[in-house]
Amino acid sequence: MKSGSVIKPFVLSLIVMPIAFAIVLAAGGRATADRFTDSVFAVMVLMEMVILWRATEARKLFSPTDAGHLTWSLIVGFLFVRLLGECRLLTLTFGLVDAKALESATAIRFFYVVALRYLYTLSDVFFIGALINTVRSYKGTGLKFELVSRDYVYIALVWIIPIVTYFNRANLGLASLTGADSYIPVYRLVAVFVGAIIATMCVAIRRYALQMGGGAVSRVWTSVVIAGIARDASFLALALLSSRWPSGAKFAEQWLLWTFAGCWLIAALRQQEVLPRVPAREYAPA
Amino acid sequence: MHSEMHKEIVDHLTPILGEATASNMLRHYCAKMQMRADELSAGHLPQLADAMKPMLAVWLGSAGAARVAQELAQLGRGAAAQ
Repeated sequence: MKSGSVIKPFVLSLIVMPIAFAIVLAAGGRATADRFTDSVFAVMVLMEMVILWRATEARKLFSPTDAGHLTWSLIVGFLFVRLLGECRLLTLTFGLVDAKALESATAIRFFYVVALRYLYTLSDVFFIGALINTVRSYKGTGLKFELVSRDYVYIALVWIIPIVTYFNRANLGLASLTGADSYIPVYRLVAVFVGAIIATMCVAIRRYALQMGGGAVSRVWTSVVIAGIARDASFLALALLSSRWPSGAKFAEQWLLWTFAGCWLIAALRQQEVLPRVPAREYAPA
Repeated sequence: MHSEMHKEIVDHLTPILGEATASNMLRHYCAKMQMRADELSAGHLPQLADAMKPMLAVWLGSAGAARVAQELAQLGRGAAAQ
């Protein structure tokens, strides 16, 4: 699998998916449109399994003493914990575990439905670790990688997302793949703030990638940056649309998460294509 | 004013690291080796390639860095043969 063979179908899917959603909504109504969104989610979980596999392959390009090894280990940790969270959400979305009537739920079911959603937050902590290590790696080269004044404007804009979400927090529990519950707004507020930290670091890494002046490494990190920002924007879409158009909010969230997943797949593939010509182990140092 | 060798190294590294990083990195290591970029010749390449390995490893891993360093050293051998 090459990144070039993934990019075109992925971009096409980003265009086709909203059109398909609009057609399903017009033809079948809200319930059918929600089932369409659930199907997109199920396909995305499959894609996340592939991403985890490709990220594991990317990690193998680095020896344990390399800075990149820690970065990609943290990325693999992030993707693995996230995938666990996604599998949980899959069971709730398709009714394998009842996500409703939490007040009368057993402790185990309550833990499964409410507490385990923080797997996503845990995964984000791994991602933040990976981004911090990447920033340190760039700075550690001694070359000139630094933010410019425009980046601070972008960072300020990024922090508008959690602030707007906070002021619209009443909407955060209105739409969800599994139906609303009274605990989800707190999780989403935590997630959007953690997401803003991620997006802030992504802005910095995007600048460093730009300062590289192109090249294969820069393309890897550009994909990661788009993924990070799409994830954070998914919460903003939920906060802004949920009260007015719950089905649209669910779909917009899923579409942005699809963007997130696709960019991660491209990033993992691109990392393996940085030096495409011969297997790296042939040049393993003595 | 840069030497042909300088251009060749930058051209080799640009698809991987980008033009700016390739140029900055080369300038950085030329300064470390206490020479100007226009003085760079094929004879310097093995030492230069070896010195660059740790920084290349940041982005490419040790194995990838070793490979690119070997390719850079070979650029020097190719130039010497001509």
